[in-house]
Amino acid sequence: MSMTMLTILDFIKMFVLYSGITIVIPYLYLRKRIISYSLTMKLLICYMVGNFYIMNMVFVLELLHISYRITLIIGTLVPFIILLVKKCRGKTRKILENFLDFIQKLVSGSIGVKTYLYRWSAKLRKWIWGNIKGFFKNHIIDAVLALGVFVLVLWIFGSNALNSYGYGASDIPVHNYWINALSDNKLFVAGVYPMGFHAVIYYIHAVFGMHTYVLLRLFWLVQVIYIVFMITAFLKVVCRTRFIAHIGPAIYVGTGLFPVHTYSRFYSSLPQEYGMIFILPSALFAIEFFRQYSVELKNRKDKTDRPDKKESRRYLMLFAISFSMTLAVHFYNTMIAGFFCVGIAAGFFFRFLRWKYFKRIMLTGIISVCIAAAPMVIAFVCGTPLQGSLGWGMSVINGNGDSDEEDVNEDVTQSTEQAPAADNVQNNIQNSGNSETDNTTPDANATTEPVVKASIKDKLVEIFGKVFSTVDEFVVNPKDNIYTYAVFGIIALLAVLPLIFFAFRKTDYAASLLSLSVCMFLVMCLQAASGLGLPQLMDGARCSIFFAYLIPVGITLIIDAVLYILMGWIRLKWIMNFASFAMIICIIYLAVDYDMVREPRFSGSLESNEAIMCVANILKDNEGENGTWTICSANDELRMTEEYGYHEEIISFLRKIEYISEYSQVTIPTHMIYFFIEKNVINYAGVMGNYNSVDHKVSPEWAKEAVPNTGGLDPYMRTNRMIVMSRMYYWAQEFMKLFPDEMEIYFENDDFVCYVVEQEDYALFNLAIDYGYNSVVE
Amino acid sequence: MITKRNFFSIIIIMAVILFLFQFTGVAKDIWNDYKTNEYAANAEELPKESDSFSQASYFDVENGREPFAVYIGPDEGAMWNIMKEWAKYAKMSMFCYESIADYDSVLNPAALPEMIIVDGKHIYSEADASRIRQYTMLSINVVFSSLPEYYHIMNNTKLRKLLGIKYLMAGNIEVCGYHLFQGLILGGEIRYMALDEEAEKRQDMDLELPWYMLGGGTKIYMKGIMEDENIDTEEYPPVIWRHSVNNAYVFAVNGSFMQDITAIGILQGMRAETVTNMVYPVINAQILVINNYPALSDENSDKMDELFSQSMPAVCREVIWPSISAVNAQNNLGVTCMFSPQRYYNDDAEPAEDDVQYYLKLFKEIKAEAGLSYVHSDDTDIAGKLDEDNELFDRTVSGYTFSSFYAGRMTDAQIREALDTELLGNVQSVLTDYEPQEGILGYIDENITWQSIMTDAYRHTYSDNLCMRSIQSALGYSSVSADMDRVLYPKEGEETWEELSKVYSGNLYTYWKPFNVFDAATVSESDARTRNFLNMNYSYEETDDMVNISVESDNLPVWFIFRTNNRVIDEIEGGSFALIENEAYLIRVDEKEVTIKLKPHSERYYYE
Repeated sequence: MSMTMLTILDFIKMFVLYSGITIVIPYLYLRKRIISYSLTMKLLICYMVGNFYIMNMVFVLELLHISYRITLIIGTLVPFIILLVKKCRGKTRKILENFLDFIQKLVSGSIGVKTYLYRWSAKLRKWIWGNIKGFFKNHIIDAVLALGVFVLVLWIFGSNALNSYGYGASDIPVHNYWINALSDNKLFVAGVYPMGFHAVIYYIHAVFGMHTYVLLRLFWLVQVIYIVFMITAFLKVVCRTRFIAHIGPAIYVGTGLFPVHTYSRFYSSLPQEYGMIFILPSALFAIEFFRQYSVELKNRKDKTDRPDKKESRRYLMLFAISFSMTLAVHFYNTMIAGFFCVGIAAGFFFRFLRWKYFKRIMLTGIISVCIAAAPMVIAFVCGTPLQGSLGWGMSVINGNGDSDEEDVNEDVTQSTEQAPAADNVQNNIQNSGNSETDNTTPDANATTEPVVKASIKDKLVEIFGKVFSTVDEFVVNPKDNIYTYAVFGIIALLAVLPLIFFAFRKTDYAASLLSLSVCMFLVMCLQAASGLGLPQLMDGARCSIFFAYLIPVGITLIIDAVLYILMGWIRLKWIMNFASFAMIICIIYLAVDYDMVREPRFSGSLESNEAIMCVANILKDNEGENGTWTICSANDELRMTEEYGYHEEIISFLRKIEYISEYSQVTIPTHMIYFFIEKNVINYAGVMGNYNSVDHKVSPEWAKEAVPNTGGLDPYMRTNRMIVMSRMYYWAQEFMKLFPDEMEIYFENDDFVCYVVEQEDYALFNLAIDYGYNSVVE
Repeated sequence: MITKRNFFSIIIIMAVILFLFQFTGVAKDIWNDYKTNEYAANAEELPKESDSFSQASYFDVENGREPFAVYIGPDEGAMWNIMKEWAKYAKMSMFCYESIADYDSVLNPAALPEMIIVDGKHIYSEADASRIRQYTMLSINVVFSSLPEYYHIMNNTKLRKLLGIKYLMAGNIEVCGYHLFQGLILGGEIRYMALDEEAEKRQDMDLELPWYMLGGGTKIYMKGIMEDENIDTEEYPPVIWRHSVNNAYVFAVNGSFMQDITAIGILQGMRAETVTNMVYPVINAQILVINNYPALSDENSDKMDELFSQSMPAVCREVIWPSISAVNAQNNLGVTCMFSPQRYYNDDAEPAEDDVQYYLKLFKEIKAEAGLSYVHSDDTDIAGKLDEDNELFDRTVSGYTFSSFYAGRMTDAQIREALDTELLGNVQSVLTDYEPQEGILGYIDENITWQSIMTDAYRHTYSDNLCMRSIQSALGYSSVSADMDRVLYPKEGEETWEELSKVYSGNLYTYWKPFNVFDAATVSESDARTRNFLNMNYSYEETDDMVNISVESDNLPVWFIFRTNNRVIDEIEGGSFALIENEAYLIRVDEKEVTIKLKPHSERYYYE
């Protein structure tokens, strides 16, 4: 099977499994309770409940140290068992009678097995078909448009999955390590950290047997699909015109309005991006709460009556679930969701400030934080220290930290020699220039600009200038300033348009627009925090990801609002809906006409595709023989294959054989040893600017250079990687001369070679040989 | 009252059932052509000694026509005999030189030996080590059939480096067993270590040996096992290993494992290790000889009464036969029963004539062969015994010809005398007990072969096992003898049949299992294969993924063992193949040209 086909099948498998456990299974359980909701709301409710349940089930089982495949399956079925018990209560006798009747009919032959099977299959077919029909009833156009966006995502993002098989970020191995630890019932193996993302990946791995490394190398695409879907869902509920909701995701995914760093992290399965999925739903449920509760209050016959809070309570619950998941996955998402909540509080100020609303929303917020924090607090109280990045987060909040240095893999670095000093090499490297700008600007201002008393107007101009330059630099891709002004315009319009709707007593809609405006304003302030002299809670590059995520939502809401103002008064709703559909065509036309269509971006990974292919083959070849093989490589295989085999770092291996004597003994105690060597050495993390002008193939010249003696990932970066690979290559050549039949080529092409050594378990080969470039002491 | 109609029906049914039950037995009896020895062949049609493969002269090998090996050591010792024998079976020429200098004087760079076997007890000087290192530069593989003394190695750095020894641990240590890894000889990985009292009886290996530590570039095939748990497995003393030196390998054997016939399989294994693919001919025969069975006379009656409460013929029929039959069914060994009609020809006890037919029928049914044993205990000479036997068989199964004869340790003259008798006039193959100076098999004369019995079914020590595996590896041949004299004429203190039957069936079932792929053959069947093996010559050539075998023989099929590295057979033309174990195949050659197509032993499941 080709790797392309394997990748496609793996993606389909994980997409179906993830969607199944987060949408289909919750739907089976909740379908009667959510029957009155719109399709979008049904999907959102199921998805939120599904994710929340899986995350927290894993947390509970992990804290109890009983997380295994069987317990996870039982845990998944518990709601159904409860439902079944409730359903059967008092009907046991009847059910038993029916069952015995069935057996009797079957045994007596009055009805044959075929007839029964036919009846059941007919019932099942009818049920499935009925659900599908019900699901898409009156939603065919929406379904087609959503499918269009889905295809767009697959084209823009998915094509990279077929181009690059490896991990896209250097901190994924750390997350892989934490996920692997969940298999050993170690929830916070490296300290307390939000483990929501890890719990979901672990669940799919443990229950369905998909390798964690496969999930981590492809789950990002599933994440992107849901991130984009959440824009549609949010807009679908908030917008007043029918099809306009599909413009937002189309702009976000299909246009080149946003710079690469606003979506480059989407090519990696990272918690922050997974957590983004829950930002818009949490805001949506909060908005829906304000809307619904006001309806419930209005529906009272008498002001002294207690309102029927059933519906609003559900929204509050869903808000709590969504908000808690932002916290359970990554704090940055909580920050943005928090800004949105502030925005909603501002937008719905006329309700928020009323005690009835205030107490409920605040209490819910606190509960949601408690739910998310509970596992972490329990672990912390039990003595598990905070993971490095949490300490960093605390210091940032206290104003002592540097927002660029979230240290996710600090602890792992020491044990593996693999993790970088900074958490995300790729991201940091990509954004290093930008980050430096952020960091140095205030200092530069402080040192170079003379202290002059400026007027308020001048100060405002200066502030605007700083914010403008930050937005221009981080959020907007086209060089023309008009696009940057447009961002301000969007925020301003979202603040102004609500006045019209307030005037026409469309308060919920107006408040929603205002909420987004305030939220975007706050995010913009966060983006420009360092320029404004505020504590920089998030580095510019990361903040821009969220800012860029909100902009298409804002654009869509403005278009919707304009259409609503222009056509909302027309009784024939189809005219407005048609106009919204026409707007989609217009947007597509404009994007094409202005050459703003985004091309698929092929981002590299931190290891060669051949290495991933070899890992897949090694796992396949050694199925059922865990612990009998070792991979010696300079890549992420340590964590990828941790549950199945062993790993040896090339740099460690080379250091062991660097100075040898006739007494030296270096062995790797497994039956099989695989050596991954890049003949055409990759530019790790793209850090080597002059890569193309340097001979990056293994050569005696590189092998003659000294073995790098630096720590962390440095031996695998820049020319160090060429030295390491060259030395390893010539060691393998020499070893193969000594053991031509015991060492064979597992895979080879022009760029990569994988050697495999088969040895007797009780008579290991001494790998310390003179390969011409190491020092042999007599 | 039963009606006539029903009564008639019942009678019919009973008649049918009776017929069905009786038919098979009667038919088997009628169609059992027990009076003919189906294994006997026409002597004229059999390959002759004069056609057998003869080793090339030095002139031939010097012209690069034939493969050859060189033994450097004394030409009078047992080792040289073993080397010659190995070379004969491996279809190579073998030349012996007393010293390195002697060989250097005739060394022709244009015709280099496949292998040089060095007797380390005599070759250990620094000059020798330097010269051997130079041989490795010429891609000549070197085998130290025994290592120089410990102190010679200790004082000779060049020799140490040649052997891949990084340092010396002890001149003499005692191990508790040996660990033989898969690959060198067939049969798979095995530990010769006694863990209980029963296994202690099998441990007959020399457990004392020098202790060396090996350096890089070495591969160990067998190592000692230390009792001390504080010693790492990696540090256990190596016994057989290989060291990569320049363009060749230097093999070393620490201990006395190559001082007997065991060496032939080890040497073939070493040959196979030096190349990617290796093809060599084998006999492919697994023989079980039930010696001195059946006994037809009622002799040793007191002892038989005491032990079995039955007469000797009855013991043979009722006690021993079921066990033989079961062993035959359970194992892949061709059974040959060597008649011993009488032990004492001067007494009054006469053989039970009816039993001759009875046994011949039984043998036929289980596809066993009937041979004749020389064993008798009184002063009757061999010719007299055979005349008496001849009369018996004339009376009972006139015209029956014996094609195999068990001669034990009879002298050549005695064998010749026996073969001249009328009864043995058609004998094709003579079975003898193994004598190291004689070898395993060969021709007695132009028409008759001899085969040695290599293993005692009642006794299978660790050394026996290693030897058996080695011979299986080199020849695909095994001959086991279960002597029923031990049951019928037991000596004081020896095991009873009850114990012996357990031991021999257990041994055969356990230790011959890895070799089930080889064919079961009676002595005469094995004789035919032995002749083909001895008379044939072959050559083979290989390309990337093909191996072509050319056989110079009109007597086909013949068999080969094909050993490869990291490859598997994809398909074969001109023959067939069967997997013996990982990377070792048994090839049956039906045509003079055989083509074997190879493929990698594992292909990648996922590709680019």
